[in-house]
Amino acid sequence: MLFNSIPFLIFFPIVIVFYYVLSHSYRWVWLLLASCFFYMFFKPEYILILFFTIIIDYFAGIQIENSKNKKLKKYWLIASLIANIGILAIFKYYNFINDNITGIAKLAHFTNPIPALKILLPIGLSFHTFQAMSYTIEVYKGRQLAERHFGYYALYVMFFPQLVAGPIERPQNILHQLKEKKLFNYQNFSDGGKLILWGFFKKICIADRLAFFVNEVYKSPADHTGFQCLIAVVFFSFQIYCDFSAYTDIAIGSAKVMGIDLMKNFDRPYASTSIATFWKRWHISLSTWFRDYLYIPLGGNRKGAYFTYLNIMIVFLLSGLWHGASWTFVIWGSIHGIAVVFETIWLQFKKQVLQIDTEKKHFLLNYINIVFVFIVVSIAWVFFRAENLNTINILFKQIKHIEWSQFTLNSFGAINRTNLLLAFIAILILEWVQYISKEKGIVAYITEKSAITRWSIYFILVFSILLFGAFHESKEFIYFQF
Amino acid sequence: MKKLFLHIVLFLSIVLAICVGLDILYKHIIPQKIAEKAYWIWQQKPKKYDYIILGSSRAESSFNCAVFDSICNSSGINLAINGAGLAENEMVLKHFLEKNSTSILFLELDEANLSPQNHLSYPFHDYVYFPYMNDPLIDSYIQQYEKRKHYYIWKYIPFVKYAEFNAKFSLDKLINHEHIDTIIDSKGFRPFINHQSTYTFIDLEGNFLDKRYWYLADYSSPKSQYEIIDSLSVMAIHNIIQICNKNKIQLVFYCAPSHAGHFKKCKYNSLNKFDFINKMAQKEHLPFINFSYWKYNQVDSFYYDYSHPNTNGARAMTSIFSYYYKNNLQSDSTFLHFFNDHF
Repeated sequence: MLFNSIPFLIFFPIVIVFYYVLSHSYRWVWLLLASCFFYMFFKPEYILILFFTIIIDYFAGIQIENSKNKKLKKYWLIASLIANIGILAIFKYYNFINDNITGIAKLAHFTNPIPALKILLPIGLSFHTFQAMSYTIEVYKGRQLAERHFGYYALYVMFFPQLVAGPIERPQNILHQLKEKKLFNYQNFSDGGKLILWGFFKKICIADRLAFFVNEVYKSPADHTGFQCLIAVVFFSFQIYCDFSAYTDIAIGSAKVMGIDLMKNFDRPYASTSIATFWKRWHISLSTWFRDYLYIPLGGNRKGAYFTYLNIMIVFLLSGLWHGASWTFVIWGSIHGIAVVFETIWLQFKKQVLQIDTEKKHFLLNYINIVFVFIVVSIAWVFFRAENLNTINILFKQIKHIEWSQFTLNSFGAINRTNLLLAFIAILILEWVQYISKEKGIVAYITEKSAITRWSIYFILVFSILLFGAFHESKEFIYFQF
Repeated sequence: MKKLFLHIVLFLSIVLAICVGLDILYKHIIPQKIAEKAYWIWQQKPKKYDYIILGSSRAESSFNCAVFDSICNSSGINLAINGAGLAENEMVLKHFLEKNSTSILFLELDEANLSPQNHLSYPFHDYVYFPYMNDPLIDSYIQQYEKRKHYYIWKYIPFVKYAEFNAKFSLDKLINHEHIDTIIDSKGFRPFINHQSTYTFIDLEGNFLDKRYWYLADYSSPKSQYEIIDSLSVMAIHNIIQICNKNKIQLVFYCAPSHAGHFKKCKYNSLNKFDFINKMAQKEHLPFINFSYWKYNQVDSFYYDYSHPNTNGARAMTSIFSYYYKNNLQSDSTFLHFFNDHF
């Protein structure tokens, strides 16, 4: 079920009413049923895959905890990881690997006998698989007790607000919250509602509006001028941020209404002064997952400079592959990896050779860095968004041949000037709101205002969605495909 | 809990009140401010006509009533609507007959409006008619054909329908409104001047010369697709025939001109659809005048794009049509013989 759909607007209030009406001991059943319904709304049969990993990980967690023998613990962990990664490999990477084998075989004048699978990727597979893996790893590390109640464990993986696009939670943060008795709290309701409303505004008014332009250009970049291609590249940076952070806001807000706090997933990523900082502010739950379960176990920065660079590259290449089974995602990950490696080397050079204090920065330099990071990230997003390398090639060629005469707002394919102006205004509103609420966050910022101001903001958001929302373009959240 | 309940009720009440106000406002201003042919049709004063035209943009832009009227000494109106499917034509005909009358209906039929899920609004532009949803005729059509199943939301929740289509009813369009008179003439003919700005034809070998026509890929889909005739469109044709019989209106099928390259590209699809129209015309004893093979189908200067004649093309087609009608049909009021001539 999409958050930005009529069914969700009916589903969510019903879930909330029964959640608070039901006695605490039955709430987990209600939430689990609601989560199953939410997931099955997309494609019912894929819930079986989810249950397969839930059952494996549930028993693996108990066996890891029960095993006295360290080796046995490890075997159970490996079994759990194989089950999870195996599902990912079959549904997400099988055809990619097979296509590459076919390509190599063709070069060698052979025919690949392995058939391609005609399967759809279950929605949010990478998200719930990673959340499930974090549970067994945490139990193995002894930082989390195995969950003996199957219902609560299933709910940990399936909790509907964050089931299909995160945040990728850790068991320590969420399992105990699901078990706690939550009493009705007005503030939770109010805070959650504000976040949901802001999320809807970002998705429908900004992300989906920008999608008009982005889709138009990426569909056939050769038919657009360099200026239009450049606009599409910049717009996609904002589109993907608004799209994904809107999903997160609605997820966090929905959980908050039920008294459950999900982890923060975004922290003004485009205000980052370095790529490394960008990754501390963008999709925080995934970055920390890779840091805790891959980068640190690989040795992190403890094994010398070369291994540090190697580990960074491994993390970013896998991060690219996590997003999608395509070489464009691998290149996207590599760009970020290389940028972080260069930054690391440059910082070392400044500290050790130039003896410059890297902590102190002139404010102007900060702004230059922010712009530089935005440019690098935007270039990398081209690889993320484009369907193939040919599109990327044409897009960059068009931008390379940009001319001053092209800098006009008058025509953008089938989209008129007003739509383009609205898109720019939407971005300015986003940046302004983020700037004024940067210290406390949007919820606290609104809460502190007088009742008239607060209610005015609510009505402005609601009617902006109704009057300026884009309802017919790109309804799905981009990160659903992962 | 009480506080929350009160706040939710207050918030929803205010939102609802504003939505009701906006709904009433939009209902009244949209037909005045948005340049849509449908609103022009709905605002026409009752009149008796000799003939009317129904169809999509191909009929709207090819049949110049002024030319026809001067040659045949008659009075007609072009009620074809850009992008309209046959269900929409049927609805417009029913609406027209509520207060007007005609003796002849020229119905434009071609491969586009008989292909399933074609690029025309399918089955009709439901959103255009929102301001008239209180009209039982429109209400019944939206309810019958609404494939998005949003009918009840549109009908009972105020303003949501206009919000959903806010790109069509945007504030800038409502403020800086375009006059319909700049698009169509006083008889409903919509001239297309010269060539489309992104003008590129399909060449005579049937190759697309511009990727912008990607949506035409439908026509190059597997051959089995050609054999499918859209059932909703067939139903609409049968309904139109019944309405004509009931109101003693002579129905004439015709097909507007296409560029030869386009026809070549869509050959199998077109021939199959023409075969269907021919059979239906024979069965119902109706004339079918087909301009697909007319002698000017390779004259680029007669076309706005691959499937729409420009002003020159429209003048030529209407003149030929008029003389053909005058010489062959007008004299025979019973129309009992079948025509399928190539021009």
